[in-house]
Amino acid sequence: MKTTFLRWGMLSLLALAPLALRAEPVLIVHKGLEGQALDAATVKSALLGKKVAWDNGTRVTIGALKSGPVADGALKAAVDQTASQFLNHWRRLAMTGGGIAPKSFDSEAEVLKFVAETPGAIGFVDSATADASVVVVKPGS
Amino acid sequence: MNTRSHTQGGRRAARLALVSIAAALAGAPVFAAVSVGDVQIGGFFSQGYLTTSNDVNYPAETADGTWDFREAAINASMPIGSKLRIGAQVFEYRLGDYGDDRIVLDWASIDYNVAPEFGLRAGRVKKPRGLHNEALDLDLVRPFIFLPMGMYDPRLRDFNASFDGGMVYGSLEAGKAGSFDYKAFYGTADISTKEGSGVADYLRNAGIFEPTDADLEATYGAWGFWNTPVAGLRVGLSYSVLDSVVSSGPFMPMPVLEGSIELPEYKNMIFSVEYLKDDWTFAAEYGRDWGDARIQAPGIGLDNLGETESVTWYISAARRLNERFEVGAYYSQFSAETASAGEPDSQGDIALSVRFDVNEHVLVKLEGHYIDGQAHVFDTPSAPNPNRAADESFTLLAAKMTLSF
Repeated sequence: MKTTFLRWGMLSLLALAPLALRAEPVLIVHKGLEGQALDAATVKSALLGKKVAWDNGTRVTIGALKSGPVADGALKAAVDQTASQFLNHWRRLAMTGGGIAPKSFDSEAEVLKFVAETPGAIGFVDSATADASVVVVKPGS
Repeated sequence: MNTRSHTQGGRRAARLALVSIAAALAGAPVFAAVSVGDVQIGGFFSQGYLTTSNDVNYPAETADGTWDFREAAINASMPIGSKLRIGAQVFEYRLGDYGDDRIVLDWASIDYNVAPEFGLRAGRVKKPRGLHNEALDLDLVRPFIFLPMGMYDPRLRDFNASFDGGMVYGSLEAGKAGSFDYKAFYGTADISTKEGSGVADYLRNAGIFEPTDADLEATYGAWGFWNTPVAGLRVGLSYSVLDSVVSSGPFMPMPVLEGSIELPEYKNMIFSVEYLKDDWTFAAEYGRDWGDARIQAPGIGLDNLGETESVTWYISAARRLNERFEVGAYYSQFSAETASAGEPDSQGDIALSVRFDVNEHVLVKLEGHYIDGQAHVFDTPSAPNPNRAADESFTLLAAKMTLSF
């Protein structure tokens, strides 16, 4: 009986494990952007360098993860590009006088810190990484 | 032309490049990303090798192989307030004799982005033309070493790279129809006839006069792309004019006399399609250059008014296989519809490329071309091809390593 109970317990934990790992990329923004209209079209425009200033007058600044599943997932959803295509898009802009490239970071913790400390900054991290130092934007808000 | 000094210079540069590359591969990048306060600094340096078969020299003096193939640029940009930005880039290149490692101001502009729908850029501005002209020197963004040269000829960057003037640009949302990006510009550009000028060689290749001066009154045009509702698909049209190109110099058959050419309006139009799907990039473009050409040599009463026209199209596909490798291929066709009788009037080019990203700062490319026809091959001292034949095919092999930051 005890063995059966333990076995069920283990199976339940295994079943729950993917739920715990199934975190999603989320858009995080500097707290000064709370209340700004950040619909999908606006975010896409900002990420592609077309919108350079928010309605509150702060400059759009992007904190980007260099690579990885969070970067791929977020960019696919937001601008329908792979991380490589997004990098090339910004290389074209930055090296031809068309914009100032996003700041690139190796880790989500660095993106989180950058967005928290930089007025006008946005970025993507895993939902499990986001904390109260930034505002998490829900899709469609 | 001092070929020996060029070759020795090329070897020195190649050695320097190899030392730089070795340092980068050892984990100590020559260039490190630099951001000083709000100033963002970027750049690249590349060194390559070119060789062609069948004694054909294309796009430069390549038949015996050459290391005279490199580019370098450094740029800086900074925001001022939320909507204003300034920046500049210096650039130098050598492609055989072309470029001559001369440092030029590639772009230097002030940009005021009023809103996504409307912005202004003024100064020396990169010229929008087709999918690739603004980023022609940027091989960081593609697997190819050479883009289809009938449309994006690296020898003619003096004509096409940038202009001094102003540009308006913006992006208009169209709801379910997608969005439209546009640019419209007006300006002028200095056309150099100094040693290493590709434009001078283009004029010299006509065999009429030795260009000692060239002038362009104005260049203007528009560029528009529709980002369709199909994710990753965009369609565009660009149109540009070189207004009053005039060049003159000693008439080749009788150098004591002067010869000249005038192109009152030399027009270019490119229709473009690009489709990004997952790791694939597909593209196709159709371009046409045309205009009247007036050739004069007053000393012998020569005054010919004719037309010049050429057409280039290509299809390409590229796929990023993983973080390290990207492969690409294209087929392009160039036709010069008004070539003189007996002159080559077409050139097909099959290109295969492999790109290997060593790390985020270093990449290596290998590229092979099978080229059928020689309509785009010059016969000049910088690219001697005295036996240029209309139907002769040849191969071009290119290798290139680029450091970027």
